[in-house]
Parts: sequence; C-alpha cells; structure tokens
Amino acid sequence: MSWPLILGFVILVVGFTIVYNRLVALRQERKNAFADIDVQLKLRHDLVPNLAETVKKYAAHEKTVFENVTQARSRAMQAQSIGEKSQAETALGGSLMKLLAVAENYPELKADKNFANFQAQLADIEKSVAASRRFFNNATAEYNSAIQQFPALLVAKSLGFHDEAFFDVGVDNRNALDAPVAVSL
Amino acid sequence: MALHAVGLKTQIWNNNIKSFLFLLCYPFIITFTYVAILGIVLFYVAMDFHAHTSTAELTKLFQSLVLDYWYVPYVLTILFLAGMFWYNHNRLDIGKGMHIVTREGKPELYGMLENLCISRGLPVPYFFIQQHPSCNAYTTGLSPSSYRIVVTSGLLEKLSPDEVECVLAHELTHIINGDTRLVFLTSTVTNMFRTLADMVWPASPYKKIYYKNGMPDQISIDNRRLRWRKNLLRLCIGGILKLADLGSLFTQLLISRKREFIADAGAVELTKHPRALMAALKKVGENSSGFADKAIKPTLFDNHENRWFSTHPSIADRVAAIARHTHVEAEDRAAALEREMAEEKRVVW
Repeated sequence: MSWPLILGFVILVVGFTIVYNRLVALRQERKNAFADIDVQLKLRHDLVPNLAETVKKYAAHEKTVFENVTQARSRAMQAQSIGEKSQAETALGGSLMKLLAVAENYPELKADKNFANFQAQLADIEKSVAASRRFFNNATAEYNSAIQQFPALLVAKSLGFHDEAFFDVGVDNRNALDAPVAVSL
Repeated sequence: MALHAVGLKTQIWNNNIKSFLFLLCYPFIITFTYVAILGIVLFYVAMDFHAHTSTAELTKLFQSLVLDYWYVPYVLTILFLAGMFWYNHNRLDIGKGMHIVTREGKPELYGMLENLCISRGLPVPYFFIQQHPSCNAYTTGLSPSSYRIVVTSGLLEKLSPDEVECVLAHELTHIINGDTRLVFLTSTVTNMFRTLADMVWPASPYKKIYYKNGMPDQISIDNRRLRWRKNLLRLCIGGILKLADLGSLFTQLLISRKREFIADAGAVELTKHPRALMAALKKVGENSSGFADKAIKPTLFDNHENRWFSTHPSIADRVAAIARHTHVEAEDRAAALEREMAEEKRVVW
C-alpha cells in the first residue's frame, strides 16, 4: 500500500469523524434549546392556576373562559411531540389572552395587587418563552442547513440525520389566532 | 471549515479554527527570527575573522546549528512565558476607583452575573465597578482564583439592565473560552520581542541636537548619525527583532478580533437576547473613548482604534455578524430610513 493512498484514507476518516461529531453537537444543541423552552413553559403552567383563582374571586360566572384555560393547560402539560406542544401552547396562550380580556371588564380586579403582580409575571414569562423559542428555531435552522450543505450531506444521509421541525404556529392555528377576540358583554 | 457558518455554533467553530491557524504564525515568527539572527551573527563573525573558515564549512555549521538546536528559541520563549504566568497568575490588582460588587451591596447586578454563571456551572468571578464616565467593560485574570470582570460606572448608568446583562455575558464568555489566557500569551510574546529589540537597538535617545551659544553642538550631531558601519551587527539584529515584534503584534490583533466575534456569539447563547446585545454595542460604540490602559486593551468590550491596528472589529461588523447568525434585523427599517435621510443619502419625495 503506497503511502499517499494511506494518507488520503486517513484524511477521509478524520474528516468524516469531525463532521459527524459536529452534526451530533448541533443536534444536541437543538435538543438543549428545546428543553430550555420547557423550563419557561413550565413556569407559565405554574402561573395559570394562581391567575385563574385571582380572576375567579371577582368574575366567578365567566365559566367558559375558566374551563377553556384549565383544559388548555392540561392539554399543554400532556403534549409530547414538538407539533403537539406548539399547538397546545399556542392554544393556552390564546385562552390566557381571553382570560385577561375578560378581566378588562372588572375594575376591582384590575386594581387588585395580586392580579397586577401575576400579569407582570406573565408578561416576563412570555418574553422569555419568545426568546427561547426564537433560540430554538435558530438552532433548528442551523442544524437543518448544516445537514443539507455539501460535504456534511454525505455524512448526514448515511448516518440518519434528518430535517427537524421548527416551533411553528401552523397555518390552521394562525387563522384562529388572527380572528378577533370575542368578548362577551 | 468542516461546516459552513450558518448559525451561532458554526460561526464559533469556524472562528476558533481561524484563531488557531493564526496562532501557528508564532512558530513561524520565532523560527524565522532564530534563523535570521544566527545567519547574521555567523556571517558577521566570519567577515571579521576572515577566511579561517571556508564558505562550505560555514554553511555546514549554520545548518547544523539551525537543525540540531531548533528548539532553543522555543524553550527560551516557553520558560519566559512560564515565568511570567507563575508570577502573575494569582495577582489581583485593584486599582483606585474600583469598588467590588457583592450580593449584599448590589443584589440585582450581582444576581445578573450569578445567574449567568449558574447556567454554565461556573463559580462567580470577582466583579468590580470602576468609576469612569465612559461605557466599557473588561475582564482579566489567569486562573479561577483571579478572574475578574470590571465594568465602568458609565456603562451602568447608560445601558438598560438587559443590555448590561449582555455585556456581562460577553465578558463571561471571554473567561469561559480562555481568552484572558490567550491574550496573556500573545501580548507577552509581543512584549518579549519588543523588550529584546529595545535592548539591542534602543529607540533613539539621540534625536535632539543640543545648541551651545547658538551653534549646534557637534557631538550631538555625531550622535544623531546612526554610525551604521560601526553598529552594523547591532542594527541588523535589532531590525530583525523589531520585525518579529511587528509580526507578533499583527498576529495578536488578528487573533483578538476573531475572539471578539466568538465572545459576541457566546453572549447571545447565554442570554438568548440578540437585540439587547446589538443595542449595547451601539451605545458603547458611541461612548467608549478615554478608557484605555495598554495591558487590558484586547479584552475591552470595545476599543476605538485605527482599523488595521485595532484589537476589536468595528461595531458595525459585530452587529452585522450577530444579525446574520441570529436572523434578527440589525436596524429597524424606520430607524435606518431616518439615519439615511439625516446623512442625506436618500431623498424621500
């Protein structure tokens, strides 16, 4: 075996290993980013019962709104895949917005300090959720681009790296979200 | 290089490779200096003690010295670096105007840094505020017992809490990536060459002509002449060392610029808030002058200098890099339009 051949083979193997390890690192980074979103979402799930109880003290007869929020919360806590989670979290966000819209009609509720506190906490959590979702989407975009570009393409195809999904709202939900909020008077 | 830069992680990897490649300039510089000085000394000595050695023997001697003792300059450099490291690694110099930040004294500020450190599993470095009106921050320290982040009071006044957090994340990333040690390495090598060059060929003390009774003093005129024939050997060796100094200075600057990009990307990874980092960069870019101490220049958050000799990429480049890799606009279209109208680059009918 002539040495240029051996050298070429070694370079190929080393290159393959480097690209493979980097793709693994990108995939892991994406999973880490996803778990980070869960941290923020869990904070939101924990906040929902407190918020609902505070609103119930002043607006106990708005039954549909409370039911929606509770159902959306339990669905969100049970969702597994990314698609399910995206939909469930968006639904929870929508029902929370409806709950807060209802609160606009009750001035004593708006003056309540606990309610203001929970509203501020919710705003902070929403910002953090948005930031971590954006980070997750960037990590997904990076991973998808990396496995589709040329030299890494060969490694990815042969070793089972596939395109992954974004944390996306989806077209059906977008229509639902774009509909104006219905407030009962 | 194995993967094209399409996001934060790939940008960090590629910049790491580039800074490592720049580090390879150092062996090149050291070997070149060694060979050149050896060659000049041998040639000069042979010129003086004429013809006792023939050219062939001289060449053989030169070759054997270079090939058998190639490690000599490296050993000397490494010993020098080790000595400087050992002397400095636990030093924590607290200048005047510096106040330490504690959890009791400034809980929100300390809490910001602490949260960032907890998310990475690191102990919190020493944290100081320096009283100074300009906005800047730097980090130094060669070992976990002496890492420190220093932030100016001007920065705390002018930047919002989110932006201060991004600046802290940038400095923390410098610590995580070992940039403080890298800067120590590069600047010590540059200083070593500069000191050697100064010893051999001092920056001229003989520039002035002294006047006596209205007439220039002949001795000082004589001193101004380089007297290159008498000092040929010294000047050649001094020239080579000055070249080495210049080369290592450029290498240091090239490396430092790449590390700044890496630190910006690391800050976005820590805080997940690219807009705040871009806003912080813009604010610091306008306000950072007047705070420069030579030793700490490379680790400042920003440093306004001539482009080729600067330790930092320009603010516009840094903001553009963040925008490109996090898919966030660098500037609001409305703000950009305002700016272009102010600079009269664009006419709006």
